[in-house]
This record gives sequence, structure tokens and C-alpha cells, in this order.
Amino acid sequence: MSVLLTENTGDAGDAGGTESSGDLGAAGNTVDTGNTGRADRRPGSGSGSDTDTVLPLTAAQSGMWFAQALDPLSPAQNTAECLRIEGPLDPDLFATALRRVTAETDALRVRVVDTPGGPRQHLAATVELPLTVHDPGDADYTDHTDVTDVTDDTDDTDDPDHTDNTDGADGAEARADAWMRADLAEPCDLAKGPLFRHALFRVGQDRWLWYQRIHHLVMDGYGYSLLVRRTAEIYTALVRGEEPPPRTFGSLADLVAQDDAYRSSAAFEADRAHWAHWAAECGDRPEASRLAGRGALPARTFRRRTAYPEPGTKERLRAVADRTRSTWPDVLIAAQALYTARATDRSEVVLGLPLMGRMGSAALRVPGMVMNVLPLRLDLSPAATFDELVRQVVLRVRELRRHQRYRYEDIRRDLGLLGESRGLVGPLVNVMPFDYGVDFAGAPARARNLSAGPVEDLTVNVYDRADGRGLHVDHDGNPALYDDAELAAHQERFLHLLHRIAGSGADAPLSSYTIATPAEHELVVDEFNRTGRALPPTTLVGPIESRAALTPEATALVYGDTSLTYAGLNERANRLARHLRTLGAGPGAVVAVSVPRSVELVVSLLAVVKAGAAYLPLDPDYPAGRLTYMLQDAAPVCAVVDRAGRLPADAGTPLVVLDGLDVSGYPRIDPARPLTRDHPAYLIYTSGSTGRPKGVVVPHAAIDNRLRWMQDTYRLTAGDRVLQKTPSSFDVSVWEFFWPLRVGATLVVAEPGGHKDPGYLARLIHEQAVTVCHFVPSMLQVFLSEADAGSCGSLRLVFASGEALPRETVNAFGSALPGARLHNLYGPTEAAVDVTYHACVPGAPGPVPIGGPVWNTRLYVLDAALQPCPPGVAGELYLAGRQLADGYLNRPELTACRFVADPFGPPGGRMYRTGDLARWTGRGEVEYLGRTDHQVKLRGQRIELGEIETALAALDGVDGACAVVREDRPGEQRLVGYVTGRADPAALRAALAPVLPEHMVPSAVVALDAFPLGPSGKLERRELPAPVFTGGGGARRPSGPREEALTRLFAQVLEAERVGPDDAFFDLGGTSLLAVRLVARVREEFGTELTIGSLFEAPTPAALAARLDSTGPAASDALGVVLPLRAGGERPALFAIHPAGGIAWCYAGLAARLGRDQPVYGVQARGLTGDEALPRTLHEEAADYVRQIRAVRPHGPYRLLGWSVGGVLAHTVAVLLQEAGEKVELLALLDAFPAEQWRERPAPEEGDALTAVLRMAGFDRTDENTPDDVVATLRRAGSPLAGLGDRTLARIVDIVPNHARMMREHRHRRYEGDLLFFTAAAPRAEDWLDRESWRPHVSGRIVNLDLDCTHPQLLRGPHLDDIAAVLTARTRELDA
Amino acid sequence: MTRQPGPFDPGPEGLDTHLVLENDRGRLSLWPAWGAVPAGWRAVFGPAPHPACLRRVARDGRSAPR
Repeated sequence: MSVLLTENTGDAGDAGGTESSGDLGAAGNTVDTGNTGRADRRPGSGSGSDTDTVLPLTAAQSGMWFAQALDPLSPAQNTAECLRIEGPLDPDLFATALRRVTAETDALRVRVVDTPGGPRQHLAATVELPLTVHDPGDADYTDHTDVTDVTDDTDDTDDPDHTDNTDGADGAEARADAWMRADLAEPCDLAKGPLFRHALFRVGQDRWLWYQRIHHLVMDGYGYSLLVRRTAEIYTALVRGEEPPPRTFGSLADLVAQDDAYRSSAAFEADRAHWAHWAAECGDRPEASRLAGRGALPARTFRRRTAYPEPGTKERLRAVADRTRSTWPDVLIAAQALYTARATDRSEVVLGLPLMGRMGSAALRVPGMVMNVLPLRLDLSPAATFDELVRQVVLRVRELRRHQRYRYEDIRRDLGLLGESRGLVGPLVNVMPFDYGVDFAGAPARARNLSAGPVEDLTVNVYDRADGRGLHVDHDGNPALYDDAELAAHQERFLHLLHRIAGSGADAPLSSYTIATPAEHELVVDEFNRTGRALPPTTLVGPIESRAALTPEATALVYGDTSLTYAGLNERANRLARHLRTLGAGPGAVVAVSVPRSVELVVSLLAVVKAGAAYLPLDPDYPAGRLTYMLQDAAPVCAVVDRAGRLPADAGTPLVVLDGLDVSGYPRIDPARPLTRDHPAYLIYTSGSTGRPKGVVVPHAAIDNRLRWMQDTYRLTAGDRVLQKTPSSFDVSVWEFFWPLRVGATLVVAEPGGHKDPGYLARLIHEQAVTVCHFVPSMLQVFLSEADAGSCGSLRLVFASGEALPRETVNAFGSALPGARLHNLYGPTEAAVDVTYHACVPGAPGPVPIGGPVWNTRLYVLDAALQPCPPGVAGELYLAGRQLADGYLNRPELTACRFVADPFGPPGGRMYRTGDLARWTGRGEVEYLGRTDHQVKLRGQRIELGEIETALAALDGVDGACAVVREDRPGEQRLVGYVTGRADPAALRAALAPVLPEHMVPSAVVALDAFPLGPSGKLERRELPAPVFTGGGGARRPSGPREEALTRLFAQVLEAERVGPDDAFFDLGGTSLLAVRLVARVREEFGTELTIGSLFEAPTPAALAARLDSTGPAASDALGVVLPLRAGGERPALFAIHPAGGIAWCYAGLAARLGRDQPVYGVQARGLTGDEALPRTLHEEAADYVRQIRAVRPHGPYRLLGWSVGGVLAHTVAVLLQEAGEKVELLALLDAFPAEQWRERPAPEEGDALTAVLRMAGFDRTDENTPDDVVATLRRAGSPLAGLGDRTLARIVDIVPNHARMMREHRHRRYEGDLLFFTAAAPRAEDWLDRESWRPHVSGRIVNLDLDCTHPQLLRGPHLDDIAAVLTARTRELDA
Repeated sequence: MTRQPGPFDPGPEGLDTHLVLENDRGRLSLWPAWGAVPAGWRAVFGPAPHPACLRRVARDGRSAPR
């Protein structure tokens, strides 16, 4: 059955009569509905007419439908065009022409309705012509442009809105423009329609603007050209009174049928296979090229910037096209590909290529939405020529065209990329050579696109209107991704690139092109690098000697209690230097120095450089094998050590042992030496990726430049005090050692290991009034959060380097140390410490830059073709200038690969390849973006993962190895190794310790069956599993309260499972930063100041517990009646009486806080261990305690304290002691209330006993019903009470109700003296409790302190501090 | 799609991808064959595969401190 669609334009529009075309044309209007009757004559729904035809959408239309459905109110899918017609126009005839075109064009008469079966398009037989005409008639048109002026579009203007119509603020054109823009911004109601609109504006006597806006779901760009031509054709015929040529447009039903036919054809399958194959060739995952570095959802609007390449550009591009047997659009695409590759730092780009999607002549006759965007992947390698790239474009586009009907949405769906911003293509390049050379009855027309549809990222629309104006380029950008300046930059660079391409020859390699504009090139190569500065030709040591002569009596260095004047230091160093010279030290020679941080270290380093040699610092903690290797590699003439045995002997290096060395025979004056600035000053080893460390040789000229710049910028004075804390094997230490000595300041030397302990550092800075110091950013963060940074007010300058400095750390610094300035520095060992600097501003937005270059230094950010990247574009950072090292000792290949020729500086110069990714800001600072390889920084220390991997792979039983730095918890980085093979991972860790320095030994080694591989067979580091840290588990249970508590703390801080008391901190994944956290927790819990050093020496809970308090109770005494919580001390002992459960462990924290000279004894209930009968009255119990107390301390004065029932007992004991004639000078009650307050309450049952036990441990009871439940809760919480044992617990269950009963029956007597009371003042159920109830039983004052907590919380951390403070004050008064 | 091998990294095996440059002070530098030779430097070896260039550098004694 075939259906004929009736064509009836009806009476439509606001002017003119009806026209009936009557001519239905040829078979294009029939639809074969043999398959499923999709086209039928059901009445349309809603406001349609009965003759609506309902059709499904084509795949192309569906794509637009779903895109619109994501944001129904978005007007982004309105496309529009404006034609400027220069000449007389008859608006009525024009309207007639439009009506006829509308009648001929099915697509315009469509509305789209959603149904449960999917969207459907309703094709109306007729629609009213939505045309607005603005014709003021023969008015005076006050537009200021010349009728013949065709350049009202100014070249290269910024065009923030969608139009480039410039007619000043007033005038008909401006009004028309505003109207058009407003209309364009109106979202379309797809269900209602019409989906198009026309407007006609008369803006001059004989000048008209014709605005046509159509929703992209029904029309594409090619369709517009069909419509415009047909309209002009009909209008012209009407004006001439002729019959327009017959209609040729195909029907919408045709389009639908063709689409359906395709999608069920073999061609469709072939296309699908082709694209699947294409995707597979992309490698691991096809990735859109992202100029903005990220993707975004299509916005509701877009930014447009219009430019006109200079005249003749198209012709020159055509010449290139001829040369390459291509077309000039192909050349444009190649140019955009080159631009995108360089701007995204990739060798492969995926552009979006809009295609007409119309194959076959029938398709070319239908105005509708057919176009498709397909991914065009191109490979760019700097070695290829531009012409070769164009050939590649030709071939790939040709291939792409063969399969262009397969939709972009289909490809994305096949790849599982239909999620929102998982686009497949980067910038679109849309070259539209549609010929708009139309005229309207002789009046020429010029078209201007107003909107080409939604812009997901960036679309470059290039128009060649064949209207004599040359090319017109619109860069349309998603405002979420590009601001005006960025869009302008992309366009300007693109045009410059086109210009260069047009002027270059066939064999110009791609590498010869830069995407920076000439202005940008000048900026990043020259202007930002104008750092030349003439300097006096000094060495590292010359200024130090001058300074010593100038201020000999000034303090040069301080170490602990020792200090040395400049004269003293200089003389000691001179003598040692002369001694070293006798051993061969001199310019060009190396002297190793392996001395722990001390006065001697400074003297030694200074002596080496005074002798003229280069010093090689050897960290004494390095494994012996590594030290031997370095000694053999560097072959120093001798090694200075503090004591024999410091260094391994097998390298055969002669030793200079300071211990016992007598150099007094040498003259004390500065030795002469033929030292030049080219001679090496120091040799420092860094991690090597192939398994061996490599030595960097830095000459005097380099380091002298650095120190002079540093002094000029930060102006140290003689009053400054610089902290020396960085190990000498890291080059940051170089300025710590030598900078202050050159200017007469004082060097404050930290003790060995002190650099790891922020608490120690804070104290040292405070005590020594340090003004300048350095931190690695991760250590700075810890220092600011865990140490008393606020006490470091003497600091005025803090330098951070070695790692990326997070913005949060800068802000934290600003709050903690408002009087100091923080400076971010960057530089590898290969460039004399630091080459960039940035003064940090707390509260500033964005990442912290590494800054601009120092004196006589140049920074280059280069792309893969070694061309300079413009500001904002990422590339690799190269360094040039005076601070470059000579190279790597004995490593010519490595030196030649990393210190390469500098194309931008003086002839013959070198630049160092950092391997860091970076970009310039517009203000001449560089931002660090990451690495290009597998070098990492861990807490500021440089590690080549390859070195660790090599070491692991060399061990027995290891087949393969890899190492990564993981950050499984934010802010905590850990080094983790992975191995395959049969070796035991724990044993591997141990086996690495003698081979690698401590900071390179992984926190954990994980054994895998196999390494996770990506589709390309390469290791997928992302897929490596996180290590799970578990301890030795139940090897033995903790003994005693401290061990139990410490084991719990270890488990908490390390987030490890099954931790036992003999598990070592660092074996459980502990890092030096976590160590700081553990120390803080220990301090909170126990009140003791554990140092980081102790943790290193006693790394297990058991060992630490033993260390914490050597006078602590042995496990077996823990339940005795008198429990020495602190036995040592000079002052009168404090006796603390147990609460209801009978155990006095709860006072351990208090005892710790009261200080080493305050003995504290807990008094515990009888019957905890034995089978003694429980006391019958409180009086009896108290009398027993009096005897026990007097056994420890026969006579007063006595100090007593009690919490809860213990307080009541303490009062009773105090009364008894007084009645026995003894003096009680302190009675402190912690939230304890006399018997009267309890008498009226019901007797407690076992439940209350359980509550009491839990409260003893500091918990409120929730759902524990049996003693077993209680034990379980205590164990879970890690309470020491969990270790009580069933027997003891059972006794407690009896002891508690016994106390409750005794308390009710008790009668208080009076205590003569003051009462010191601590109230748990948080709201509680027992609201009748009132300390004033003690009044009858106390003769003196009741002095109270309220604590904002509940009863059980009184004896926990923060409140204990307050209680201890009050007690301490009181006891001091008593002592005085 | 990962970052491509850089200008100083080995290229595909067997291809003549690199040069060795020398300046007036006798220092040597690896260089990509497609790159223009910077002023003050001249090519003394190659174009040749990356490993061959490294061997050439190793033979020369002056390119690194000793």
C-alpha cells in the first residue's frame, strides 16, 4: 500500500492570500510502508491537524533529541543565519516565497512529541508561517554605515556575543541584531512547534536582513543552503512574474525510509565493524584531545570569536593543497591537528569532523538533519613533514567518508562512552564551502551564521562564502572551558600557524613549527628570562673567608651548648684544610665527608672547600654497600669521618678520623689554592633509574650565583640565625651551611635526627630564636599541625622546596606564623639547588607556582618538538644558565642525554632536561604539573622507582618487580613494592635494608601472582592493589595497661589489623609522618612526651611501654591494694582511691600529668585477686585503707583524691586520718557526692555493676548485659581493663553492688579543712547531685572547678589536663 | 593514549632517530634527528639509532666530569 501525502499550504501567515502549489512532484512523496506501517495517517496528538503524519525519528534526529532532552530549556540547538540583502525587496512576495518553501520542506512542518515508545515527529500538512517583518517604510534610516561599505565586520574584533554585527549603539541594524539574539536565546518547545522562525528587517532604504532560525533536530547546515537557494529562486521568479522552477526537494518520509534501510543493511554492519576496528587501534582507550585539559557538558550558549585570515590565505593554502594532492580544507584540518597536538602535548589527536552524511543524489535533495560528526584520528611525530601530515589527512578522511553514515552516537555507545562528558572527539573543524552566491531578483545577498548548534568543546568553523571576502573563521568555544582570552589565544595562534604553513616549503618538518605567536615566543623565551646579572667572580668559600676577617668575633655557629666565632671556625677549618691538602685535596679533587651533624661537620665541609676540593657528603646511615659504591665511583683522595668505623673499608679510601686528630701544628691562616670558578664545589649523589646512584658535579660558579642571588633577594643580616637541619647529602643543605657564613649571620645546628621531630624543631627554633629555616612541604604541614608552631615567632623567612607545595599548607602557614614569609623554591640537584622562586601569598587562589627564574638562569617550557609552549600550554621544563652542573660523574651517556644543546641561549650553551611537566602563567611564573617519568619525590627526597625495582629484582626468588608511591589516605604517601615470584615479601623488605637508604625502602612489599596488564600488554600501575598492613596478630596478648593502650594506638594510627605488642611500627607501614601522629596520640593518652627518636629506638608497643615509665607497676602488682602509679618523686605522695569497680588504673593519666616529682599511689579494693571477704561498711574499708596508706607513708601531711565512690572513700579516709591525729592537707573529690544523695535511690543490681565497670573505662553502658559483653566492649575499645580476666571481672561484679550498699548506709563525719571539688558539669540524668551537700561534712571552703564533660569523661585526656593543672597549682602552694 | 617518547628517548628500533652534537668546549649532546642543530653546536655523528649514538658518546672521554 502506498500512501500519498497531501500537500496543502492552506491559508497561512499574516499577509497575502493563499497559494496552492498543487504540484506534488514525483515519486519522492510516496512511502513504502510494506514493513511495519510506521508511516500512517493517525491523527496527530495535541494541537496538530487531522492530517498530521506521524513518523519515527531518524538516527541523526534521535541524537539531537536526546541531546536536547538532557537540558530541555537549553536554546543551544537553535541554529540561525542572517542574510543581508542589498537592494529593494518586496516583503509580501518574500513572504509568499517563504510560504512555498515551507510547503515544499517537510522538515519545517514538524514537531516532535515524546511517547512511551520513543519520540515521534508529527508532520503537519500545513503550518502557519512564523514570520515577523519590521519595515518602517520609507523612513529616514539613521544608520551610519555606507551602503557600499562591506566591511562593517571589523577584522579580529573580540565578539563576546554570537554576532559580529557592529553598528554602534543605535540604528536599525543594532535593533535587529538585538531582536535576533533574543530570539536565538529562546528555547524551542519541540512538542508544540513550529521549530523554525523567520524575520525580515528593513535596515536601510534598500537593505534588508533576513533572519532564519531552525532547530537543529530538523535541519543541518547543508539543508540551510538548499532552503536559501530555493527561497531566492522562488522569490526571484515571483518578482519577475514567472513560474518558479519545479520543486525538487525530497520528503521527510524518504529520509526516514533511507535511514531505516541503511540501518538494516549490510553496509551498516560493515560500518560498525570498521569503527570497532578503528577504536581498537586507538590503544588502551580512545581519548578526546582536550585543549582545555578537561571536558564539560554542552553549555546553553557559546563564546564566538571571529577572524579573517589575511587576503590570499586561501590561495596559498590551495597551493599547499595542490602540492599535496589534497584540498585546502584538508590543509586546514592538518593545521588544526598540529595545533591541537602541540597544545595538548600528545602525538596523537582525535579531531571531530562534521560530515554531511549524505550519500547518493537523493540524499542531496532533502533539507533536513542528516549531518554527522565523526572522529578523525591523526598521528603526529615531529619527524614527519607537514606535507606528509596532509597526505595522512587525505587518506584518513577518505576512509572516514566511506563509513560516514554510522553515527557518532553509535560509536560512543559501542564503546560504552555514552556518559556525559565522555566525548570522543576534541576540537571540531567545520569547513563550509557552501556556495551562497545567491541573489534576490538581482539584489545580492551575503550570509552570516549566527549559531551552528551546541558547542561541546571547541568548533572551528571556516566559511568560504565565495563572496569575494576570503575566509571567515569562527572559533566557537564552550564557555565552561574557555574564557575570552583563552579563545582569542587559540584563534590567534591558529591563524599565525596557517600563515606560516602557507609560507613554508614541502619538506618543512613539523618540528620546525611552533604554535606560539611571535609575541608569545618573545615573551617566554626572552622577556620572562631577562635575568642576566654581572657578578664578581667569587667562589663558594672566598666570601666566607672575607667575612671571617671582617667580623671575627661574631658568632658563626651554635650547636647545643657550644658556639664558635667566625675566627674560631675559620681557624679550625684552615688547619684541617691544610692537613687535607697534604693528602692530595685541591682543586679538581674530591674529599668525602661522613660526619653526623655537629660542629665538626661544619668545620669539615668548610675545610674541604678551603683546600679547594669538592666535598662529597656521605650520609652515615646509608647501607654499607651503597657507601662503598659511591666511594669507588667518586674515588675521593680521602674521607673525613668523625670516628673510625664510620665508613666501610673496602673501597680503600684513606680516612681522616677527626676523633683524636691533632692539627694544631698547621698554620691557622687561609690556605692558598689555585681554585677557579669552574672547579667543582661539591658532588652529591641522586637516585639512578637503572639501579645505581649518580653523582652530580656542581662547579663554584653555579653555587656562587645561587648564593649571591639568595642574599640579594632575601637580605640576611648579621643578626639572622639560620637553622641547619637538612642532611648534608641533600643539596638544600648547601645554602644552609654556606649562606649565613658568607654574610656574618649565625648558623644554628640541629642535633642529628632532629630534622624528623617537629616538636624538637619547634623548641629549638624558639630557644635559639631562629629567623630562617627550610622545610620540605610535607614536613612543613606536619610542623604546622602537630608542633607548637605558634611559639616560633622569631622566624621571618621560611623556604619550602623539594615537593609540590599545596595551597592549604600556605594558608595554614599564614595563620600559624603571620609574622613570617614563606617562599616556594624549585630546582633539581643538577642546577645548583634552586632555579625558581615564588613569594607565597596566603589566601591566594589556585596552585602555588614555583615562580620565575633566578639570576643568570633561563627556564624553557618546550613541547615534543622542542619548540617553546605559549603561556598556559603544558610542556617539559628545561633549565639553562649559569647554575647548571657540569654533568654526572663518570656517566657520559647520561650526561649527554640530560644536558643537551640549548637552541635559545648563547651559542654552544646547554640546557638541562628536568623531566618535569610545567607551564608558564601569563605573568612570567611557572607552574609545576607533574612528572613525565617514574621519578618521584617522597617527603622531598628524590627517588627513581627504577632503582628500587632493580634492587628488588636482584633479590632471590623475585621474578619481576615494580614500585609505586601510593596515597591511599589523603596526604599520606607510602612507597610500596610489588613482586612476582616465590620470595616472602616480609623477608624482601628486610633484605632491602642493607642495600637501599632508609627513605627508599618500601613501607610494604606485596606479592602478586602476576602484574596487572593493560590491553596493550603494558603494566597498569593503576591496577596495583593497596597493601593491607597486618601485624603478627595473636602471637601474644599485651600485658599490662600500657602495652594494651600502645597496641591500640599503633593499630589506630596505622589503620592496621591484628596488631600485637611485638610488631614494629615501621613494619606495619609506619612512615616518619605517621610517627609524628603516634607521638601526639601517646602524649594525649599518657601525658608523657615521647620523642620520635624513642620510637625509632623502641619501635614496638612492648618496647615503648617499657620505656614510657620505668617506675611503672609490674604486671603482677597491677591489682594490689596499693598500686604505685608513680613511685618516684620528692613531694608528699598523693593517694588516689579507686572508684566503684575497685581498680585505680584510671588514675594513670593523671599521675603522668602531675610530673616526675609527684608520687602517686592508687588504692585498690581488696578481693580483686584473692578470695577475701568484702568489707561490710565503708568505715571498715576506709580503716583498712588508712593502714595501707600509713604503711607507705607513716605520717602526714597526706594528700588524698577520689573519683566517684573513691571520693566518698577519700573523705572517709581523711576523717579517719585526722581522728588519728594526722594532718590531711589536700582532699580532692572528682564528681563524688555524699551518702545522703544516694540513700533514697534503689539498690543497684548487676546491671549497674556492669555500668560501673564500663564507666571506669570511660564508657557509658549501651547494650552490654553480661560481664562477657562488657569484656567484649572493653576489648574492642582497646581498654586495658579488657585484660582483667574473668575472675577479676566476676569479683568486680560483686564489689560494685557492695560499694553501692555500703554507701547508702554510711554516715559521714566531718573533715576539718577545705574541699577541692571537680564537677562534671555536662547535663545528666542525676540532676539532684549537688556538691553543696558536702557542706555539713566539711569545715572549710568548697573550691570548685566545673568541667564541661560527663562523669565518665572526667578522667580522659583534655579534662585531665585541667584537673592536673589545678592540682599542681594547689600542691605547689602547699609545698611552698 | 600516553605521552609519546620524548625527543631524547629511544625511537623505534633500528631507525636513525638521533644525532650526536659537539660544541667548542668538547661537550657532547644527544639530539633528535628532526631537530635543527642549535647555534654553536655541530653534528659529529648520525643520524643513527639511539643506542649507536650513546655508544659514540661513551667512546668520547670528554663529555662528562671524571
